[in-house]
Amino acid sequence: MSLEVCSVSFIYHKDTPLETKSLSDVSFRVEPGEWVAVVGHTGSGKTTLAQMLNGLIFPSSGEVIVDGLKLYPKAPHLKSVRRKVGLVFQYPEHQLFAETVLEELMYAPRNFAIPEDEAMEKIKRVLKAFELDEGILSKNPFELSGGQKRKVALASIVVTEPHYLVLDEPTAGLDWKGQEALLSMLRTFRDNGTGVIQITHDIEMVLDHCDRLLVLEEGRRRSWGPPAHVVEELADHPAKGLVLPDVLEMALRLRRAGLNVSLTWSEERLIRDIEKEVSSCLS
Amino acid sequence: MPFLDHLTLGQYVPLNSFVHSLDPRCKILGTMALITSVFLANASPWPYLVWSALVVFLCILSGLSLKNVLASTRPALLLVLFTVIVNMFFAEGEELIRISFISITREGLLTGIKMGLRLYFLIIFANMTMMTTSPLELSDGIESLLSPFRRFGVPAHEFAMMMTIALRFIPTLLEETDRIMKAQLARGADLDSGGIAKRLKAFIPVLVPLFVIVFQRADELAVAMEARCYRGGIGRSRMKPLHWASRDSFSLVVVSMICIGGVVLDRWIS
Repeated sequence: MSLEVCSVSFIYHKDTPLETKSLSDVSFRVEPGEWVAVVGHTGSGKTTLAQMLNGLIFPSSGEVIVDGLKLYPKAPHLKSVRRKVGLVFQYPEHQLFAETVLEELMYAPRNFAIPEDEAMEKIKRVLKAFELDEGILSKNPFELSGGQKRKVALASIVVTEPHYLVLDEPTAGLDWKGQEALLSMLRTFRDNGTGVIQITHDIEMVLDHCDRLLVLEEGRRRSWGPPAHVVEELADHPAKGLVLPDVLEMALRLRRAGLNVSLTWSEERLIRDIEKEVSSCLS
Repeated sequence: MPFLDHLTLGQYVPLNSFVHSLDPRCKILGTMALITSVFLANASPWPYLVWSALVVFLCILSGLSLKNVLASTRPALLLVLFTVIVNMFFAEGEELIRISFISITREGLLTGIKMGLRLYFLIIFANMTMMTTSPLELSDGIESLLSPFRRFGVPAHEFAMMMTIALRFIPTLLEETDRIMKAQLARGADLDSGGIAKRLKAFIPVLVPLFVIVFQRADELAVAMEARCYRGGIGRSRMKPLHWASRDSFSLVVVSMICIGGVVLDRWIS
């Protein structure tokens, strides 16, 4: 059981003057209960990759395999794969259409032929997970606040309880509090066995949460592995357009200046290391 | 494959070619001349060879491949086919085939093919103009060509501004449509199977968010235009004024000669 991306390449507008290579020989693997963050600059191929994981587009070369099922156009198992891999687009509230929140939340379960009573149970569970009151079900989604719209849109995808959850810039447009709430929700999903794939340009946001990090640069895999390993690689050879956390930049400068501090993005740890260095110098 | 992973009808392809560098007014006038001649020359098949050669020649001059130009006209082929069929069934003459009360005549078949070809050439020429002219240039060109009619009350600037906005937003709305369709597909929507009624119903979750976005964008654009003191065309200056060069005159003369040649060839041979 895993989501595997094997040597995937993708070309937009193939054989036209607008031909663009979006992804080039990218490979990685996500296990259930694992949080993988995909980071990269604008145009690095993150969104293309996200759409490929759900079978919305297919690789020009290479393979995407979800729990042993290979994705290809018109594959008979495409719909079941889409149920296994929930995909949250950027600004998911733009996909809302139904007259009531209940209808909105019922949309995916009905499409995946989940019985109504089972779907209602799932809806109740998802409302609880998103800290939404059951009274919201009768409301018009277009009349909700921005934060609630985002929650309903996310809930409408999570309601089918996918094995893997792919989120394309899920925190875009949210304030700090909203971002924290969303990340804590993702942690819960991960702890419950869902494979989380978060796509973002903000490496600082994911370093503390993710288990593994994939850095894309101009459609190529620039670095892959646990955050500490990736950070070490990026420290030596920075990736194009990727802004490292301020604390990490500071640690890098201190190391270059000859101080023995660890390559960390944790403020507390860096302060501790500096204090240790200072006291060893004084003694 | 992605829904929009091909050149769409009239999609601007930014290249650095002779045709791209021409003044938009020259291209609009040239296209109008070509369309007129395509509809005037309808007796013999020779002009069609002239138009075909011209399409190939324009492809070479514009840096576009013939395959891309023809592929982008694919959505219009249904209209061409409809024209052929309508003309085929409703013309009187020597009967070729009869199935029940429907008969296809020789004259009908010929008229249908001719009408279809003329319509197809019209679409190709208009498509090539749009592929080689940016939406902004196109609306500037139309505004400039319509400006003499301002004294008769034609709102040239307003018309051109409406066109600019419409053309500017076509790719944006296509992208939005693509995104919403994919978002609903990811939620298990089935958009391309079943009968017409089922498909139309399946598109409601795409159309409702699209309308919401269109109204939102229109509102935002109106506010942004007002915030920048837009008050219509009076006294507005241009960042890139149009400049008619000798190559534009030369190109227009050549295209006009070809058009006249096509019509004369048609009349003379017939």
